[in-house]
Amino acid sequence: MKKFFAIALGILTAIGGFVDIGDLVANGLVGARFGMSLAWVVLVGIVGICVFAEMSGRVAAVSGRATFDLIRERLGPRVGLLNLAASMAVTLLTYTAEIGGVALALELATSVNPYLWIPVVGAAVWLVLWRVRFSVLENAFGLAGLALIVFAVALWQLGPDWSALWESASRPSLPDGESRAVYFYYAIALFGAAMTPYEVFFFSSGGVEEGWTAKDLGTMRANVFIGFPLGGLLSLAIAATAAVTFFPQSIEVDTLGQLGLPVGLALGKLGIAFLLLGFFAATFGAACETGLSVGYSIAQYFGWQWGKFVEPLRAARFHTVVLLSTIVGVGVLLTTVDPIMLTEYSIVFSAVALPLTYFPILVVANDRTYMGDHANGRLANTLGTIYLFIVGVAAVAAIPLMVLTRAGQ
Amino acid sequence: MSDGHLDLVLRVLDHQIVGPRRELVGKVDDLELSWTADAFVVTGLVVGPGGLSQRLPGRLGAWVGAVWRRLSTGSEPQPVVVPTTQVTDLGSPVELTEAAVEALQRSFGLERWLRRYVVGRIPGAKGGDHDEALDSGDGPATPTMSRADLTEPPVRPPAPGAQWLSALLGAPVLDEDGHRLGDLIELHTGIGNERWTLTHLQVTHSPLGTELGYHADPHQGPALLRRAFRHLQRHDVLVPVGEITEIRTEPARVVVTRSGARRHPHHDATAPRPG
Repeated sequence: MKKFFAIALGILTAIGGFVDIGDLVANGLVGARFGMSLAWVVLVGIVGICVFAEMSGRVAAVSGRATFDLIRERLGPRVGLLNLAASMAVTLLTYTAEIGGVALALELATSVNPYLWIPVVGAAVWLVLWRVRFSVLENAFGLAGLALIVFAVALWQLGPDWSALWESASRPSLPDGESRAVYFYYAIALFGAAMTPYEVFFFSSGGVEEGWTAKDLGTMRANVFIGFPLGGLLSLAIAATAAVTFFPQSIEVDTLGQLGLPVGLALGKLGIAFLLLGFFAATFGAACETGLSVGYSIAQYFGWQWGKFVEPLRAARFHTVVLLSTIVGVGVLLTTVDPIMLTEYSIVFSAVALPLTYFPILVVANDRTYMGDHANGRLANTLGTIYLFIVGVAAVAAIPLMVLTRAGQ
Repeated sequence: MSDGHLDLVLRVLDHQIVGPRRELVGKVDDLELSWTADAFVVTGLVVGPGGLSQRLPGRLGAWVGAVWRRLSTGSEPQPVVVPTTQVTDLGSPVELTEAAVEALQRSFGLERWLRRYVVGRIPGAKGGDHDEALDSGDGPATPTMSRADLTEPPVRPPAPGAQWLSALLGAPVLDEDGHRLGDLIELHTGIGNERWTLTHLQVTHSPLGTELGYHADPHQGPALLRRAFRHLQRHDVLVPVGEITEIRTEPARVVVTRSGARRHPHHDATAPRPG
């Protein structure tokens, strides 16, 4: 019974923790502008993150090595450092966007200017990373993030024409006035949001933090194969509410408040309360995950002691990196850059960095010297190879499409 | 340490180093190789920025080296070498003895500086597992007597006359006529009697992706990558260490005898591999 609750808790936190500011913004924006015609990308992204999160989690459980350990080990110090620089630039950008997202959520709740909130949020995130136990951090924000289910409830309350929604999702077509380049630019943004590299950095390092062994593979797989797809359904629900409310009127979504409007329309005050809790938990939780990921990855490259399973004094370099990245994130936001725009850039650059992360994972998950019987089977390898190709195409196409469409204008 | 066969670049270089209680104490940033009377052996693991800085390109390497020197105590900082006798297990991580771990932790200038001046000053830096020895910022300053009695210290400066693995990797391998066999990418080692003896050099025409492991396990998936790397590495050969006639660094160059039955690593019948 205890084990059942442990698994259920893991799944619930995986659902609640799946959505972050990138998913919120990308799905709302795309739903309003393209209806459900890009829903297939979300599905492709979810299968992809499941494939690679399972691989990285399996390697972490069996060998005790998190993702950046493997990158250094298999790519050497030079290519590894190049990879570290690129991945950390993207993760730091995402961290900054998440802190901005928390401030925007608090602005919605309080009407206090977000620039007053940003330093407070930065300090709060750092305090959580400094003192709060790993399991508490993961469970609390994951569970609170489940409040985003209001999007699914709101969608049902809005009473959309389900067959039309299904029609536009299953037979994707280009909406009037949109070019093919813009369509594929947003496809890459959605894909990048679903497969952000920090998710595997955090997932594998979290496995090491919690001391997974080969015995925990079942729990890990339940989290990945049940939790992530259900989290992905939440993303689709967000896109669908925007598609139902804004798409027919050709209204573009560019604030977090607009994104929540359908929930307010359908469910009133109570819905808004849940929505604000969900926004806050999802972005705050993701801020913690990205902040830790920066520290994890740099420490793993150099071999430093890292993790919240030791007292901060024993991992001084790791905690200094976390502190510095928080200061950088807050500093960038205080230049009055728009956090929503920052989010859009972070998910597109995520797509560029994807192959750097996923290639070494695929290779090591095949190393039978470490992995023994837990090495990749035929299915994991087939899917892994296909996805390596897909992320390769997305990575190459991302920047040219960004230039060509002037970032989706 | 169990006896067996080891590919140095694939299985040791750049791997995580851990202590008996799974403490994380750095990476194998380089390996120290020495000629003894009868063999070419691995004598130590180079750990820390002193080793890493020499493997990073140009100005970046110089910068990492400069930070390391600035944060080191003593007038002439030397890179830290852990003798291979301190290695207790080789898996995915390299595990060291308690004595070596303590000595390594004392050598981390940046960690000690940050502990003392940054992290240690923030309230709440000490957790439930706090060890009073850390309060001074670094732990015990001098090794205890019992450790000083050991014949070989747990860490030491680089041995004079020794070569570092990274200085040889990528070196052209020539035979006595000056005919180029390819570039050195891997050193195969036999472990026995606590000694890591080099047995073969692996030489390739395409140095791409040599740390990925496809040369070691002919069945490693996924199929597409296996085929691609098999194709790239199809002309790889193993050269027995006994055939070396000259090894030079700056510029690195290895000269071997002309004759010899050389085979592809996948046809390696004499050295059974783990897994």
